[in-house]
Amino acid sequence: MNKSSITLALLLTFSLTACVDDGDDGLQGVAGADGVSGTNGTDGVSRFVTRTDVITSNANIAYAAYADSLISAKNMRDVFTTFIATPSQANFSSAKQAWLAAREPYGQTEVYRFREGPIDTVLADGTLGEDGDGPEGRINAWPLGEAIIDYVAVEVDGDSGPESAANALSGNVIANTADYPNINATTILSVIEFGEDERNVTTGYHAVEFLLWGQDLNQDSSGSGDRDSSGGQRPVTDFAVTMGQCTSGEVAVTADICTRRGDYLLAATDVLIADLTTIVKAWEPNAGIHYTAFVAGGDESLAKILEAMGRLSYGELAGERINIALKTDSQEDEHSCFSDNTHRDLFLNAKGVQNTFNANYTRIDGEQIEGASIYDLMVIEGAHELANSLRASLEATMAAAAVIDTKAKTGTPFDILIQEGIDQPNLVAVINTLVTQTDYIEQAIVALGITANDLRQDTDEDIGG
Amino acid sequence: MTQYKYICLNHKLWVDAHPQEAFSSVQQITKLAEHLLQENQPSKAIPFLGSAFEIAEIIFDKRLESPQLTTSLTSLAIMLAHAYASTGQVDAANALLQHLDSKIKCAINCALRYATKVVFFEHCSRAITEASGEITLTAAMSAVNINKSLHIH
Repeated sequence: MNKSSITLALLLTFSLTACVDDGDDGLQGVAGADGVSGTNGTDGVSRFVTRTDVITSNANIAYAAYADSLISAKNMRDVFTTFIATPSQANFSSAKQAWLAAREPYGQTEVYRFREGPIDTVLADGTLGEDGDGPEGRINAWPLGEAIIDYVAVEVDGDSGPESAANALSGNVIANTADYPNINATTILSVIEFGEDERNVTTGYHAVEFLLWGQDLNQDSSGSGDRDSSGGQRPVTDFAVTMGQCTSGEVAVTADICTRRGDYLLAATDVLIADLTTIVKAWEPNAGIHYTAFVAGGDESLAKILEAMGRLSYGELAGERINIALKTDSQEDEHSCFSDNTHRDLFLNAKGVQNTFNANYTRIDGEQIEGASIYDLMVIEGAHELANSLRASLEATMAAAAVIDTKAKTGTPFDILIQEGIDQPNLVAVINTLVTQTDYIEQAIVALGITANDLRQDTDEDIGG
Repeated sequence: MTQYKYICLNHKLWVDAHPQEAFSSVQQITKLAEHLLQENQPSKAIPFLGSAFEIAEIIFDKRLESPQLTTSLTSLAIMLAHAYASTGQVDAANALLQHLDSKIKCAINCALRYATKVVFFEHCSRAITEASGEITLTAAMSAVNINKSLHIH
């Protein structure tokens, strides 16, 4: 049987299984057990896997997803270099596309947080520190302290936080040539958490996003009132290096400001690449400092995988990223607020959880990676009905997240949805499916006889009621 | 028998024979179409969306349904309907959504014993109904605006 035939057979098997085996009646679950005796999964529902197989597959996929994030970040830097040298509208558009492309693999790695992995523990020298010492904050923290970086409107959505223009350090980094004569990685790392306020984020994906899109102030540039369906309005002239053409928004400024803005863009990307490189090294199969320990970690590692799936689903995604934004109706609480790409963040985070359960991942070059899954393990260990319920709950979440994704692509992005208020049905549907999948993940932890920390510890939000 | 508007018979035969590769092509074509929609070029996006939708539908009709395929099929139908509507083809938009909705409703009926499966299909069905409502509303508002401007003149 050639590869495509096997793939088709697998597709058929899974499809038919889904039809007859997703029931709640228990009897259908018996069909699921047949897979145990199948030949490498080709003629069965599941395939024989061990706990170590599942852990190893998880580590291999983590490596692939972080490696893709690094590749995309490096590609982004190349595109930025071209754009800064020739700041045309076409190159500006390519720079934005490169950022959007870079977010695709990274969004699927967030399920490797909340488990003392490299993202939360690895130090710049490649050794492992304590939980919280890792580069996650430098890579993906939000909201951003945008007023420390560049010019901003005084107020957005009536919210003038610590990063507002009124509270910013005297002249932002790009404008303040006296205190910051050069802008490089060292400069921008020196102002991170400025004033010992952790909200003053100056690096990472969202710093780059802000430099490309600028604040999302709506077409009337008011920063308040009804929002429109576009992201930020930064003009390409903010990067113009030709004498007399450089701007900071609508204000003409000297050309060195535009040069410095380009310097900041590259410096932020360099910091991102350095941090992602450290993480990739730690996950390198059979060699990385975290990989080897994790694969040898037995049930403790298995518990971490499931704990992270639950904590991302419940506290971070349902709670911090959706429920809070719904409650406050503020772009300050919207993850990718400058580009209006929050729909992808939600979709990709949820996808990461599903990838983890199914042990599969599609690389940025289209290569499909598959391994021993938690689903397989649960079937083998007798929890087939729960395995099917958990799988179905993840599929329901993806369907609900796809609705948000499609709405954004047809003109109704996340920041417009949250204007509808706390009962916005599409977002409430995602929250509810995430809560349901968390319930099943908790049951899976019990069924597998492992011990994990509280999956609901990361938010004070009362969600999913 | 379903009539295809965007793909030819040879392409259909290829999809029949290579559903896995065909689904990969759906994802690639969708990316292109999304980029065109993002650039506010719905008329250029329509052929891509149409081809991707029809390929996905062929795979779906062969009962090779998977959640990812169904989600893609739903998203494609909604994006295509919006593209139709924004180029003045409101009837085509509504017909497309109605066509897919009846398919999803059939799938719900087929899956009635399996509650978790039904939940999944219902998300898709609700999304289609909602998109249909949005398109009808947008069309009605456009008609009102046209009438208003006619009165002004």
